Formats: sequence, C-alpha cells, structure tokens
Amino acid sequence: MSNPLRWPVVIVLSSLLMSNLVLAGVHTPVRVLVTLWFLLVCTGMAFVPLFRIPALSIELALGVVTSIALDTVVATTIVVAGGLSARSGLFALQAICLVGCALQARAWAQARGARV
Amino acid sequence: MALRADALPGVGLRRGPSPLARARARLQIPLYRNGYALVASSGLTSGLGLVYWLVAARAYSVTAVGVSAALISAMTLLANLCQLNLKSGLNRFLPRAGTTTARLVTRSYLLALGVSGVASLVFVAGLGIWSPRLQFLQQRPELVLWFVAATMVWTIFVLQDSVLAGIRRAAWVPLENVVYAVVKIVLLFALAAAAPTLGTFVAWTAPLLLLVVPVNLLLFRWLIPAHVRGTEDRQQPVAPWRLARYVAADYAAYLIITATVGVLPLVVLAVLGPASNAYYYVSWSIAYGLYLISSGMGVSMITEASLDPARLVGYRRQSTLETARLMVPAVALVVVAAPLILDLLGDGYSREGVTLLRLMALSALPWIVFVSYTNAARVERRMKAVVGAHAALCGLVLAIGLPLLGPLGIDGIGVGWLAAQSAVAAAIVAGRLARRSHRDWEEDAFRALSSAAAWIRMWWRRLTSAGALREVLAELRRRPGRSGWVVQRHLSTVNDVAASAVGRPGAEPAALVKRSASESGDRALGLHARALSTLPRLAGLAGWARMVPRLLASGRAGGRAYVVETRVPGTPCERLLRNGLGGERPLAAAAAAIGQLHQATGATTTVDEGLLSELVDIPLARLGPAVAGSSGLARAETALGRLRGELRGVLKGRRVITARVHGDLCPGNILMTPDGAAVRGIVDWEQTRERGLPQLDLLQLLMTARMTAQRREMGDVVAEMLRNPGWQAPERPLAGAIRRLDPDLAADTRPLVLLAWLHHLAANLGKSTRYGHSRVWIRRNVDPVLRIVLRQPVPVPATAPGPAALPEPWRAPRRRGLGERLADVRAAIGAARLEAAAALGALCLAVFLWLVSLDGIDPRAMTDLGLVSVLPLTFVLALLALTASFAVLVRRRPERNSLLAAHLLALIAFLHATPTIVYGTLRYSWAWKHVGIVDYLQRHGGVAPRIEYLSVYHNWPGFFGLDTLLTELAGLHDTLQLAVWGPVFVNVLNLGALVFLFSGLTRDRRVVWLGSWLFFIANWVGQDYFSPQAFAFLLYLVVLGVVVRWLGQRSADDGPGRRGALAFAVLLVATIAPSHALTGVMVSVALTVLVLAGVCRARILPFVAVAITALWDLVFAADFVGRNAGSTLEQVRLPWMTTESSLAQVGELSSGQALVAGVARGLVVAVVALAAVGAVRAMRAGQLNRAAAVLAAAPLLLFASGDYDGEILFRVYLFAVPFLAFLGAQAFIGQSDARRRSWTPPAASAVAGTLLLGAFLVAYYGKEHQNYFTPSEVAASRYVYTHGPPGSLLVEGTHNYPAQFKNYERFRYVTIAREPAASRARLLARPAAVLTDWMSDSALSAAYLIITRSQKVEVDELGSLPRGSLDRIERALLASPHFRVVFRNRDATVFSLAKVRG
Repeated sequence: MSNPLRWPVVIVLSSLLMSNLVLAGVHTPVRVLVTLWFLLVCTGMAFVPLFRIPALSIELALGVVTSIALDTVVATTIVVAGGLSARSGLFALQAICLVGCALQARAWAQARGARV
Repeated sequence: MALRADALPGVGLRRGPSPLARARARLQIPLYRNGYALVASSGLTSGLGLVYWLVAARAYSVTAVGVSAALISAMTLLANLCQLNLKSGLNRFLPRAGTTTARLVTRSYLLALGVSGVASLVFVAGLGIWSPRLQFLQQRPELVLWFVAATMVWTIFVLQDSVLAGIRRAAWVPLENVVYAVVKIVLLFALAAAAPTLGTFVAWTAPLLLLVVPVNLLLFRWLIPAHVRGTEDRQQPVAPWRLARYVAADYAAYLIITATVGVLPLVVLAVLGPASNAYYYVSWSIAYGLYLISSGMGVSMITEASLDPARLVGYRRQSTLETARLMVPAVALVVVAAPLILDLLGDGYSREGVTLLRLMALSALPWIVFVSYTNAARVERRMKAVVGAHAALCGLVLAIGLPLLGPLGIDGIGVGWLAAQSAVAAAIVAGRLARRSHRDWEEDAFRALSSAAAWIRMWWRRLTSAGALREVLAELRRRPGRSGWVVQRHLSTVNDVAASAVGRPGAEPAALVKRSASESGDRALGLHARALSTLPRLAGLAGWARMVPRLLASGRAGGRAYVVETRVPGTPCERLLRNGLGGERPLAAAAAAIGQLHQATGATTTVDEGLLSELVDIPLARLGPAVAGSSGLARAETALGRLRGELRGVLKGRRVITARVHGDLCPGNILMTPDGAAVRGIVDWEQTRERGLPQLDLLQLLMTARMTAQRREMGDVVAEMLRNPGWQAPERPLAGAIRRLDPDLAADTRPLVLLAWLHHLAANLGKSTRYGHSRVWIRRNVDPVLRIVLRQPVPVPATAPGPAALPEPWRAPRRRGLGERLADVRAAIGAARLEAAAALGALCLAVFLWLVSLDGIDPRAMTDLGLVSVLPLTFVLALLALTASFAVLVRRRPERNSLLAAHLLALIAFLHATPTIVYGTLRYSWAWKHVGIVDYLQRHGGVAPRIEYLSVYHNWPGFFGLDTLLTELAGLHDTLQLAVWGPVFVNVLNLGALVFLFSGLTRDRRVVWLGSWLFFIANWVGQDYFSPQAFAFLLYLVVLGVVVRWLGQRSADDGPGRRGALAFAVLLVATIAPSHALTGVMVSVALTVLVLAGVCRARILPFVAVAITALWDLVFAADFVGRNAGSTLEQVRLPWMTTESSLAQVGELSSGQALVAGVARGLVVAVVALAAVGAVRAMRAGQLNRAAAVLAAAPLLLFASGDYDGEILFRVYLFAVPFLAFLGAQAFIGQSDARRRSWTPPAASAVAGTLLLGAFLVAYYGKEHQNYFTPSEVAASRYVYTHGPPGSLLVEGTHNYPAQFKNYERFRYVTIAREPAASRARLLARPAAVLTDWMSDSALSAAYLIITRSQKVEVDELGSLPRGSLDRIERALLASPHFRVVFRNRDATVFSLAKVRG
C-alpha cells in the first residue's frame, strides 16, 4: 500500500466504527479490539506519516508511542477538567485524529500540486 | 483479458448445466475431487469418532474409558510427533517422484517406524515420570508390546493417507477411514464383555492391521505403479537432503501450531478452571472441523501444483475460491446455529460457549487466506515464509488471547484467534498487494473496464437486435417440429454479433440464433454461413463434420444478417483450462481433431507471390491502419515494414503444406467432453480459409491456450515466446504436431509465432471495427511484439522447437556415496542455518518445559523464599535451555534478530507470565490500589487533588486517565483483568524500547541483544507492574532513544528528522510530567547530562523538559508539592545515608527474607561490577559509549530528591539498570574479538547469565509469598469494599492485601502495623477492648476489620508486628461477644461490631 491517503482513510473509518460501538453501547470483544486499535495506533498514525519516516517499522513504532502519548495527554486534560467519560474521550480523540488526517490530506494535495 | 480478443461470437454450450451436472463436472477435476475427498474424510472421521466415544461411554465404565482415552491420546500424540511431518513431505514430493515413488514411500515408512518404535518404548519406560496412572502398563509385557506396535502402525496409518493424496488417489482416503471407523465401532461392542478394561483401546487399535496391510498392498501393487506410469513424462525425483530440508522446516511450523493449540487448554484450565476449559475445548473442537475444510482442499492444491508448478497461481485461486464456497455457508450455519449446537451438550455449554464458538467459526474465514498462502509457499519451497507465517499467527493468538482471558474469559481466546487470523490474513493480502507492480494494477483495472464495456456492448447489441430475433424466431416456429421454440437465454459475445440459444421450453437448447449488429458482423456471419454449408461436403470428412454446427437458416432480418445453426453440446476447452484440468490432454485432442481437417485438405505447394500476399500482406494491410493510428511506438510503421520483410524472406519460394484452416482456433471455439479427452465440436468458422498454413491453427491454439491458462494478454504471451523460444509442458502435443507438419519450418519458431500472431490480430480486426480504434488494445496486443521486432539483431533461438526444444526427459541421478550425501546436506543447510535451527529447537524445548512446569507450581505451598521455593525442576531447565541457547546465538548469529527477539520474549513470558498464570489473581497490593484509582475516575470522571488517601495519584493522574479512557471506551466493567497482565505487557514494551534505544547507542547487534537480556535479569526491583512508574519508565526509555538516535552528534537517517524528533521528545516529556513525578525529574536530569556531555545537540530540550515538569508540579500539583516539600527537603541526605535508610532492616526479617535481601544486594553489586568491567574494556578499545556511561551515572543525582518513602535507592537502580546492562554486555563482547568464533565467550555468557538469573529469581520472586493473594482473600476484600457505606472505618492488619481497589474513598483506614508503638502495644495486649473502642465511634457509618492470610505472611516475614500477632487478634475477636464475623473463608475474616454503642 503506497497510497499516501491510506492512513487518513483507515483512521476515519476506524473512528466511525468506534463511534458506533460506543454510542450504541455495544459490549462485545470486538469493541475491545477496536478500542485497542483506535487508541494504540490510529491517534498516532494521524500525525506520524507527516514526518515521512522512511522505515516502516520505525514509523509504526513511533505511531504507537505517539498514540499512547496523545491519549494520555487528552485523558489527563479531561480528567483534570473533571469530565472523563467514554463519549468525551472519544470525541476529543476523534477531533485530534481529524486534525492529523486533514494535515495529511493537505500535505498530499501540496505534493500533488508540486508534481503537476 | 484485453477486450476478450480471443473470444468469439458464441460457443457451443449455451445453457448452464444443472447443479448436479455441475457437481459431477467438478468432480472430474482432480483438484476438487481430491480436495472434496479429504474434506469428506475429515468430516466422516470426526462424526464417526463421536459415535465411537458415545458408544464407549455407554458400554464401558468411566474408569475404563478414561484409561483407554489416555492410551489413545498418548499413542496418537507419539505417532503424530514421530511421523516427523513426512506426511507433508510426501504430499509435496510424491506427485513428481516418478520411478522413485515406491522407494520414497518405503524409506519414509521405515524412518517413521523406527522413530515411533523408539519413542513409544521411551514413553512406556518413563510412565512413572509423566503419567504414573498408566504405570500398570509396565507390569504387563504383552500390553507394552501392543502399545508399541499400535503406535508404529498408527504412524503408517497417518502416512498412508498422505501417500494416497500425494499420488492423487485421495478418493481412497474417506473410504479407508470409514471402513476403519465402522470396524472399530463394531469391535467396541464385541469387546465390551471380553475386555471390559482396555476394550476401548483394543477396539481402536486392532482394526489398524486390517487396514494398513490391504491399503499398502493396493498402494504398492496398483496405485503407485499407475501413478508412475501416469506421470512418467513429468517426473522430477527429489534428492533426500532437499526432502529433509523441506520436512524439517515444515515440522517446525507444525510444532508451532500444534504447541499453540495444545497450550491454550492448559492455560484456560490454569486461569479459569476446568469448567471453562470444557466449554473452550468443545467450541474449539467444533470450529476445528471448519479449519479442516481449508486444510483438506489445501493438501489437494499442493499435490496438483507440485505436479504442474507453472499453474500454481491458477490452482491457488481455484482452491481458495472452492474452499470459500464451502466455508462461507458452513461458517454462517455455525454462527447462526451456535446456541442450538451447544445446547445439545448441555445448558452450561450453550450459556458459556456461544460467543466463543461464533468467534472461532468466524476465524475459519481468514484461515482460508492463511492456508492458501502457506500451501503456495510449500509448493515453491519458501519454507521461511511457512514457518514465519505460523510463528506470527500463533504468536498473535497468544499475545492477544491470553491478556484477554481475564477480562473476557474464554471469549478472549476466541478474540485472539479471530484477531490473529484476521491480522495475518490482512498482512498476507497487503503483502501481495504491495508486491503488485503498477502494471498489475493497470492490468486489473483494464480487465474490469473491458468486462464492463463488453457487457454494455453485449446488451446494446441484444437490445438493438431484439426485433430481428423475434422475426427469426417467428420464421423458425413456422417450420415443422419447431413451433414451440422460445429464447432460452442470451449468450455473451465480444464482437459485433448477438447470439441467443433457442429451443423448446425446459429442454436443452436446440439451436443458436446469431444476429449481426454492424457491417463487419454481416460480413463475418456471411463467411460463417458459407463455411457451415461447405464443410460437411468436404470429401473424406463425413464423420469429422459432425463436430461442426449444422446450418439451419440464414438470411437478413431487421436489415442485418443472421444465422441459425444447431447447438453442439460440450464443455468449452477454455473452461477446462481455467479449471485446472491440465492442458496437455485437451490440447492433444484438439490437435488431433483439427489435424483431420488439415490432413484431408492438405497439399504441398511453393509459396508464390499470391500465397505470400494471403499469408503476409493482407493481414499486415489490415493491421497497418490500426497501428498507425493507435500505437504508442514512434517507429511502429518501421517495425511493420521489418516484419513484412522478415516473414516474406522466410516464406518466399519455400515448399510448404497448405490446407483448409479454421483461422481462429482458440480454446473458446473447441467443445470437449468433460474430461477433456475428446473433442465434440469446433465452432465459429467465419475466419476459415481454403488455403492457409495449418501450423498457424495449431500455434494460435497454443498461444490462446497459454493466455487462457495464465490469464495473460496476447502481446505479452507472444513477446515471451519470441524472447524465450520453447514450449511449456502442456503445449507439447501441439508443438509435436507443428514439427511433424514441417520440421524445417518449425526449426525456427520466430517466423511461425509472428505469423500466427499476425493472423490472430487480423482476425480480430475483421470481426469488429472497435479493435482498430482501441489504443489500449493496440498497445497491449501489438506494441510489445513490434518492440521486439524493432530490436536488432533479431534474436535467433539457440534451440529450435523440434525434439531438442521439448522438455528434456528426466535422467536418474547417479547414485552417490554416503559421504557425498552428508557433505551435500551440510553444504545445503549451512552452518548458519544449523545453528539457527538448533537455537529454534532449544527455544521450543524451553517453552515446552516451561508450559509443563506451570501445572506443577502450587502458590499456596510457597515459603518465605517466595515463588522460587515452589518452582519445579522443569522451570529451571527451561530457563537453562533458554539461557544457553541465547548465549550461543547472540555470540555466533547476532544477525538473527527474529530468533533473538523470540528468546527474549520467551524470557519475559517465563519470568513475568508465570505468576499471572499460576495465581489467577492480581499480585502485589499496590497494583490493587492503582485499580482503585481507575475505579474512582470511572465513577467521578475527574480527580480530587486534596483527597485524604492516595492523593499523589490524583495529582499525577496521566497513567490513570489513560487507563480509565481505555476501560471506558472498551466498555469494560473495571480494569482489574487488564492489570493482571500488566507485568507482561510492560516488559514486552520495554523490550521494544530497549532495542530502539540500544540500537541508537551501538551498531553491534550482540551488545543490543545481550544488553536487553541483562536488563531483564538485572531489573529485580519489581517496578514493572500496573503502575505509573512502569508506564513513565517506558516513555523515559523512548525519550532517550529518540535523543540518542536522532538528536545526537551522528543522527540516524531513518527517523523523522531533527524537528520531528524534537517534537516527539517534547510530546513524551509532556506525557511523563503528569504521569509520574520522579520520572519527570529524572528525564530532565538525563537530558541535561546528555547535553552537558555533548551527546545531545538539541540544547533547548532540557530547558523544555524542566519547564514542562515544573509547570505541572508547581501549578496543577502545587498543593501536594507545597504540603510535602518540607518533608522532602528534610529527607535529602548524603547518598550513602539515604542508601542505609532505604535498605531493609535485616534483623527484623525472617531467615528466608534476609537471604532474599542479601541476594538482591549481591545482584546490584554484580550488575554494577559487570558494567564497570564492560566500561573498562570498551574504554581500552577506545569505544566507550559516552551516552551510556553518563546515563548509567545520572540517576545518582536522584538522591538529591529525598528518600522517596524509603524507595529512592530502588528507583536510582531502576533508572540506571538499562545502561548498566548495556555496559555489562560489553564485558562479554569485547571489541577486539568481534570476529572470533570461539566457544569460550558464549560459555562465559551462559555461566554468568545463569548465575545472574539465579540471583534474579531469588530477588524478584522473593516477596511473592506476600504478593500473592488467593481468590478467597479477594472475595473478602471485595465484600468489604462493596458493602461499606461512605464514611466507614476499615481497620486492617497491614496494607498487604487486595486493598482499596473499589469505592476506596468511602473509607477511613487504620493500619495496625503502622500505629505508633504505644498504641500497638495496647492493642496487642487487649485486642477486643481496644478495637471495640476504635470501631465504635458514633461518627462512623460502619466499621470493619479485615485480617487476611497475606497480612499474616507479611507480619511473619517482615516483622512489622510481632510474629503471630494477627492470629492472636483474630482469635481474640472470634471469642469476643462484641464482634461478629460478617465474612469469613479459609484465608480471610472480616469483623464488625456486634452492637454499635449509641
């Protein structure tokens, strides 16, 4: 997969799935898996591809670490504000992911424009 | 296929056959026939096996069934292990073993017999060790003999099925298995009275002899000789060493999956108990039946593709689709009917196992992809891929399933299987997609567009010619016997003709009506009608003409031409080729059929200008305008000119045979019997000519057959033929026929291939004008060939397509001596692979020993030496094997990253998963408190920085916030079960961080891996549980890794660049600061010293780190810091004074704990000494790593931050130990002997590693007697925290129990062991009276006192109270009328006051 927009697409789809599971109150093992995927991979991968890291393994590893860091910062902020819940956490993370995806799309569009 | 250039307007079979006929047709294809046979065999065997055990359960006593079942299990296990995976090797290599088939089978049998004989004898001899209940066997020699013989015969029984599959006679497999199953059931009844004890075992084994002998007679007398005859021309005997390599690698994969499948029930049993294991095992067994569908079809695919490797892609696709066709409905059925299926087994199964069964059933779908991939890799002998895929799958199953076992129960394993299967399948698919070139994508897109365009055109033609069809049909109905004819179906066509099948309703179609849609269609149908009326009248071809459709009517309707012809029944050759029938037989039959026409009409002639024009100029004239307008080649016209010159030069004046030719002979125009043995019809004659070169018919068929079978384009195929002259195996009948027609002309394939290509293109251009206008068609079918024509000099093949160009007959290899063969084996395998294989074997052995050891660990039997006091010998052996293997591997093969990582993961599993699996509860009281903080955040949504208890966590809540977020989003009730696996998770992540960090410090992989190993056996301080420290420490390692890799003096170029690295580092510091106070300080210290030492170029980073940390500590946590700053400053002393206060007072400890403390200190000293030696060695070599050295020393500065509740020494060691380990690794691996292959360094590493490991076990596990909480204690604690109302008092003996994990803020806590000495003395003197006084405060809403087993253990071992104090208090309260017991079990008692004073 070499499409530069692959991560934004994956992240947006994961985010939609996550919303469905949380808002519908689904309690299944699938929700646990999707949550792990979303929290440990998606948040970070919304931003890490912007750095154009040549090694895939490094990119993924940094993606996971960045995910953990961003999740922690978001969770801490909400906890301090006193409003931590599944919905508040999810919406905050989705907003952050959206920003990352938008930046990736912008970078892609700029690169495309430069080539043309 | 591009615009279906090879397809023609209509083929003979015009109506879809019935499902039964389709099924019959499928069974004619060996791939499906053998696959179905193996699937059926699996299903029947499972079903009849169930019947067998049902009968056994009713006819025999439970004890008898149990003993026999154990013997049968042992026998099958031994046989499966001792067949050495030869069954896979036989399946892979027998298809082409040719004359060596019998020898290969015999040798395999002998080897398996020998191994199984020895193994079964060893098993019987060692029954006292591994199965004392079966020791009665040793008392009866006849039983020993029977068991050994049965195991040996069972091994043959296993292998013979593979032999049958390998020689494509798998149809016998279900037959023999059904016979065997029925006979053993009959025997079961018969022996019920005669052998009530071992009848079940005897009935299972006795029929083996009855079957093994006749089946092998059948094999050796008839089936193998027939196979040899049938594959004589394709035989390719395999060298023994090649077989050995294949089998060895595949055996590793087999062991990996077998071990995983075998281990999971043991783990479920250990963690969740026997009932859950029963539910798990039943669900797994049912789902396993689904897995067997893929496996059976996969075996057949291996056999077929091994016989004809060129068609691997096609076979793989077909077997995958066929498996999916069977699997999808089966999985859907199981998913839907899961409750009903399990209900048959009882309420418990349907209640507990439904989700698991559904998950397991769903996991069978991605398994299709896995099986397809690994089987293709087996055919291609890519055994690394096979082993790697199995290791990845099983590793993921364990990595995902085991942690989920706690939160989800047995469903967690189902999630593990489904997620792992899906992930591996996704990786396989992604890998395939990634390997596809731009051109592949283009091809697929083009095919899809072509299909869509053809479909649209077909419908357009159909609509525009609908009126003509009605007209023609009305005309037909007026003829006798055709009054009831209707249109039965419309046919797909790709040219300017629409075709429909007509006939009586419900009957087979009787005729085809073809209508033109353009002028070229008119022309084509005119020629076709003329040919149909001419061909039957040709002399000497009366019989042959039955293969040609009969013309029923022709004319014009709706202004366009039409033709009505009889429908010729038969299966298109095209379909046979695509279905994997094998091309040789149908192509031979086709060559013979068209050969009759050529022979009857042939004549010898000289190529004059007229014939030259027909053969070369006219087709070129048709091609020229199209090329001029649409070719992508700048010199296309030059190429056409050269082509003309070349062809005319070869043909002019030559004596050739000319005959009537079909002109467009392709597999789609030939109709055959379902087995491809005979031709039933040849259709679509609009390109026929009276005078043409018969070779061109044959070559066109050959080229289009290759296109069909390999799904390629004409241009691509012809270009390949020009570049690599020669034929593929299935094409030999056609090649032979071409050569026989004119050996001289056939000596050089190039002109003939070019002519056939030219005529094929001209035919297509004549069929429809759209080809000529299609740039894509020209660029894909014309340009590749013209490009070759343009090349100079013209490549002349070294060999002509005569006999010399045909595949070489196989010659038997010269028999070689044993020495030569051994040398071959050594050379082939190589020392590197041998060492890696040995390491893998040792790793597997170690894992096996560890798994065996788990069952023998009884945590209740621990003494004051902790877990180490109950570790069985097998656990120690496992660690020894692992250490030795790692020491050798890291020294001699440091490039084997995966294998080394596997060793480290195994070490982590041994050390940290053992307590988790064995205890089944969360260990260590502080972990329970951390769970309590998450519980608080879940209930309140925020922190309370000034809360009375555990307020530090409310001031640094990062870790808990993250965990709460995870728990909430995942929909989990609490985080307890995630916390259980905390140490394993943390250490696995630490491994990744260490490798990342160390790789930035050195390029020597030995130091990276050995340093990581040393870290794990030196880090005994236990800060790796579910805690903020563990979390922040992980991030600390990553921050340092980012700095040394990408912000150092020599930055690696594999990262995000300097700015990106800086951003990552800042983000991580910002994560650490609110998560753990001390780590925030430490990271600032570390970054500062790195800058001061000149290691880090980003000088701003320490300032940023200090600013972020200070901002958090002094703003958000200001209140906490303010309250504690004074006491912290008071604790700041000289390091050695702080050290003294940190160390336990050995005088108060039990003897075991004193030893533990001493060993822990010794381990610290040893690690520091080792690091010093390493540093000196590196310094002498001038290669001391400055970053490692300063980072090892920097944590000493933490002594300036106070004594951290007496723990500062341990934290200093924690932060230093990664770099001590890194330096220590250099003590074993000096720079000067980097290339030495001596065994001394590995031996030294192993010995030192073993000593350190021994010390680690004592130091790390030494407090486990206190850290272990029984389920009974958890139940008591849960009672208190669930029932206590807000404002309750909880009196506890010590802190050491599952404390504060739920509703913790509701309580005030009084800990007896922490009371002032005077208060403690009063309490111990008069427990009931003092406690009554404490607990009867009217302000309390309730008061409880809890005394648990673990509190007593702590008191006895650490001396925090006089030994036996808590027992005495408990007895006193039990005897007191003022107290009542509100909860009590074997390990805990909870008291409250019997009457609260008003």
